[in-house]
Amino acid sequence: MIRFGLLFFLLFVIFASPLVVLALYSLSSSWSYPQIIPVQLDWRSFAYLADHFGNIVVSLLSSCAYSLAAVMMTLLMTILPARFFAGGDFAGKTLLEGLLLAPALIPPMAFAMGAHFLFLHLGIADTFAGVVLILSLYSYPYMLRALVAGFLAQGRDYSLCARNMGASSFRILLLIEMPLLLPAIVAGGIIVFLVAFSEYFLVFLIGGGSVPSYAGYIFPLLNSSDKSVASLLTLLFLVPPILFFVLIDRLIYRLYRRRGLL
Amino acid sequence: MGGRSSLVLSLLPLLIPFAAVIGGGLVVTVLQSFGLVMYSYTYEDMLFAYRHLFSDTWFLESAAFSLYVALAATLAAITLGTFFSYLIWKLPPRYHRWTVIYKIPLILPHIAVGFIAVILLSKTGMLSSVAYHLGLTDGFEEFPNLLYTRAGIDLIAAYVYKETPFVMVMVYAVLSRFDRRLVDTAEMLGASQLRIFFSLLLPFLMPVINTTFIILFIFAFGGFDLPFVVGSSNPGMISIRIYEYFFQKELALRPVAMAMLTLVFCFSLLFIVFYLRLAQRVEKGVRKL
Repeated sequence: MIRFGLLFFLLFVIFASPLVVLALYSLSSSWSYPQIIPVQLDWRSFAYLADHFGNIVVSLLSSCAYSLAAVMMTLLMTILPARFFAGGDFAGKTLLEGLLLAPALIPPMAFAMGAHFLFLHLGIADTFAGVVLILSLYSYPYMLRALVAGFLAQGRDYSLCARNMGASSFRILLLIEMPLLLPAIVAGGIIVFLVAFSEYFLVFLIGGGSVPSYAGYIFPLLNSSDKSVASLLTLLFLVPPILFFVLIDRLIYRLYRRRGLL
Repeated sequence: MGGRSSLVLSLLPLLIPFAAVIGGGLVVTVLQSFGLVMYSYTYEDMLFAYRHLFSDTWFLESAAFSLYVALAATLAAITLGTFFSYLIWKLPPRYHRWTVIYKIPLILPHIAVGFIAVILLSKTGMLSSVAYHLGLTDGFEEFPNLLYTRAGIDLIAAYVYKETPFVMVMVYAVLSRFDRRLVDTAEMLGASQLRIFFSLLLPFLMPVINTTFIILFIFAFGGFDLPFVVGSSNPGMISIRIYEYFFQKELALRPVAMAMLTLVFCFSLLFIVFYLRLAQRVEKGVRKL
């Protein structure tokens, strides 16, 4: 018990306490050295939030939209290849799988800046589609890994059974494999969403300012002298991902209950 | 079932965008570094960008600084993360769910972590205030300069904060599959806790530690978001130099940015190959259970 208390305290101080500091900063614009906690509280940062509500909501929604689109896109890109990789061994499998997981390892700048040139010629630079495409290609390895693990875990018995009864490949994928794969899709989807939602540079490079993003919105504020507003807006960064997790969790729970799996 | 061709067909949804965007993007990066396909510009000397890089010392200084920051941050994060996941693993299971607070940095974007580093580490920041109240300093003038310096403390601290939870997730996932009875046996045979950790658990964890090390090291080495918020501008991380040459200098100098990207890419590949070789060699020397 004491050991747990100590460890919990340590984890809290290291990982959670910065959020407490942010919360205190957002409640006081007059907090300064050497006060440990702010002496005077005020609502100035919240007044800023109210004044710029429109812009903030637009950038948040835009970030959520391209992140969700990236989740869908990575799912479409990787579901068949994942089944292929889980299906069995063949010559060069490790090499091919390693190559396809590589985008998670190399710095994204290396291909994104060249891809920007291609996107300009294709006319998808500075567009929503371009942003979704570049984010998908940066983050799909997480989805691929999750789905391969999911396919390996479910085995092939159910699909074989369905095939023997005459179901088409598409029906098997849609009605048997996909529902069983749901936990893996969620696991991969959460990471893809987080990666896309947090990304500043790729959206800035490919979106070129015409695709609003929350990271792009708050960036100039982070370097300003107004720590109070910047703190509140930084905390706001946590809201969409957490809402997204809770929503997905509820949704899956309902779905499984309706299908009698829980 | 369609046989092999339909199987290969099923790879296409991934292979086409992969080849077009990542393959195509890399090809453009390399070509432009040699002054080719550079809009209307033509260059007499194909190696102009590379000559430009090595004609001065700033490039090597930035590369060395990036290497130092990435290495220091990743080593610290791996050590801390492995140690913490070991401590959590040793707790009775009913306490485990309380330790999820360590995952907070995973949902914080890099630019947010950079901002946190600024408000905690600046001369009039939170740590400085705490130091004052503990009687360690008599004023903010005495608090050491931690931000924007050549020591890279701000960058390293921010990366450690962001990366340690990632290490914990990866290591804990493997650790939770470890057979605890082996630990019990070692204890009965009189092994000390230190010995159990280093001789029993660590060899078991080495593969995941190696994978994590590669991912985090290259990420910190080539990452852009965090150094854009904190970190010194002189020498400055290599990604910041790339950004400057890409966006802030005249278009004719863009091959220099592309040359840096090409070198970063080649370095990443070489690093992965050499690290895996080294890890394999070390593993062979270790006696298996």
